[in-house]
Amino acid sequence: MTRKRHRGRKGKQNRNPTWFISWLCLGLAIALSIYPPQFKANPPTISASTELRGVWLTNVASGVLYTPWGINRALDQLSQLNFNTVYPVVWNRGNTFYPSSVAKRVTGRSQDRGLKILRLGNDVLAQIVKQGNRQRLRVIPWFEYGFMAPAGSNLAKRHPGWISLRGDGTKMLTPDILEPNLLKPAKPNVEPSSRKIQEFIRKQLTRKVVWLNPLHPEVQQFILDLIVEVVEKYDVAGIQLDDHFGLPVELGYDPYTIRLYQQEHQGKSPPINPKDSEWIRWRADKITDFMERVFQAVKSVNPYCLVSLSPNPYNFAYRSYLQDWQTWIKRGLVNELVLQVYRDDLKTFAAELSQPAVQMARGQIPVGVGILSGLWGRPVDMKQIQQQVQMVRDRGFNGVSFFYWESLWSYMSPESPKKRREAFRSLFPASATQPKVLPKSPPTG
Amino acid sequence: MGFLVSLLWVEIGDRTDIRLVEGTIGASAIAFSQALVLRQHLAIAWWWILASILSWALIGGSGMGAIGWVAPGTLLSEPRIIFGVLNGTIVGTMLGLGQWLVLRQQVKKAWMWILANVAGWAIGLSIGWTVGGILRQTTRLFFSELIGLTLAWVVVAGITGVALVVLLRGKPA
Repeated sequence: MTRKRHRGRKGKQNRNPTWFISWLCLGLAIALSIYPPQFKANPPTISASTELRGVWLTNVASGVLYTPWGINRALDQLSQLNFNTVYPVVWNRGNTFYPSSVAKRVTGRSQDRGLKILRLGNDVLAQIVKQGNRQRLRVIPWFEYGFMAPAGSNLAKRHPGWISLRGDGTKMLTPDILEPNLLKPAKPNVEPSSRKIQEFIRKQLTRKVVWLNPLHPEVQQFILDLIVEVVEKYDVAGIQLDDHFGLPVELGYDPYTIRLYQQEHQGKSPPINPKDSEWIRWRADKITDFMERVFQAVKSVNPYCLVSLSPNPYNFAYRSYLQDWQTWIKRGLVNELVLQVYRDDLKTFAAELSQPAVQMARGQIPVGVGILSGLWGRPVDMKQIQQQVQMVRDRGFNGVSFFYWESLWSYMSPESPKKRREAFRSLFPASATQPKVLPKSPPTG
Repeated sequence: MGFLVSLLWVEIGDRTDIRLVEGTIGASAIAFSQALVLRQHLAIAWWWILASILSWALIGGSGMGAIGWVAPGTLLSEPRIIFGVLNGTIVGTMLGLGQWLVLRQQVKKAWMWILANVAGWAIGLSIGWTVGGILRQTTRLFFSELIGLTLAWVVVAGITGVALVVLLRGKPA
């Protein structure tokens, strides 16, 4: 009893100091969250150069858009480590990542549900643009999913007539976002059984997708409206389309496309073989025509707004996704190319950089190289990243962009986050300006 | 729990990267969480916070680094076990000593707290580092070290928690 009283009295006596220290700790913690410790800024060792140093910010396997401090922290770190461009996702899985009246009208949802819940519906793109301007980072919103959409999305459910079909009438696809089979092309058929099991599980867990028909006028108008909405609403340096801005070669057998083909081929139906060269050419040309509409629409809103493209290597892009980006560049429809070269094998990586289409592009516009910095299931060593950046520089390309933010220097990497940051700091010891792109007037005719 | 909260401000890394500042910040999160529980039993919670922070600052400031947030340089299990026991013994001693100075004011046989810390950290760190190393070799992700260290802290919390319950049953000093 005596002890209880004693403890109670002591407890009361110590209550204020206890809570003072506790609140001090809490205050320190909050202060550190808001103002994280700054990295030591190395004095520039070389003069500032011109080089694209970009990174993609995505919503998949990444919390950057969802955590309250994610965007500020990411852009602050990127700026301090002398990056100069970010490609934040704005269109993925049938949702926008900004409040969109176009998306609301077509899908019934103004933006990604996760943002509505975790960010209380705030406009993260506006935050990225504002913070990007402060940190001198070029912001180029990235329409990642292009014509791809989850089969269960509002978009697909509300507009079944927009979806393209195979010859057998099926429409479901398994998304191979990074074309994993291309990552190790040297041994495509000798994968260990553990890898096959992993792949099997991945395919079971992956949500099936469908493909919006890029030839369908309503689909075109929807995608165009989204792009124009972003350019009109936000002070962005450009917009970016990627490898999903095409059509998988096996698709195109939907009633609309067949009718259109028949109209232009004296009633003849499309070939049964989806890889028929004339059939590929016809569909690819239709997509090129739409690309021209996109370019013109963007430039009519803002002539200085870049149209950036991050496709796969040309042969694959054209033959598998009907994306004839070589022609797009020749016709002046692309201002900046960031070629995705997600290869582990350095010889294959080098070979992709020397392809004729890439060389042609370099003669026309700034060309950067997309380098894989890692995925959850596919971590990439810093050494490989350093080697690939060096190879890009040795060949005189205009810079690099990394896929993706979370794998640059997080726990998702093979090395510790700090070691990764130090390595990137040695790759980019001084700031660099982005490659200059002269505004081109929209093509005529 | 305190360890997971500390990860909001402290980034796990190599020994050379986790020093006085990281130790102090990490210890603040840990000690604050512990004090929330301890204040129900002891009237010394704020001294506990101070002792813990100073101990971790000392550990972090030494060449050893704030070991509770450190990933070893090697991935091999054998050296991880050995270094885990060695480093755990040192950390347990230093931390236990600091907190013993506070505990002895109210608890009998408070010296047992030092032993409990040595045992907790030696066992916890060797298990956590070994598991972290095996996972990291399998996944090639640094995230494995976070899992390993979380496990280490769970073991430490288990052993020292039992010791604290035993100590609190004793009469006041």
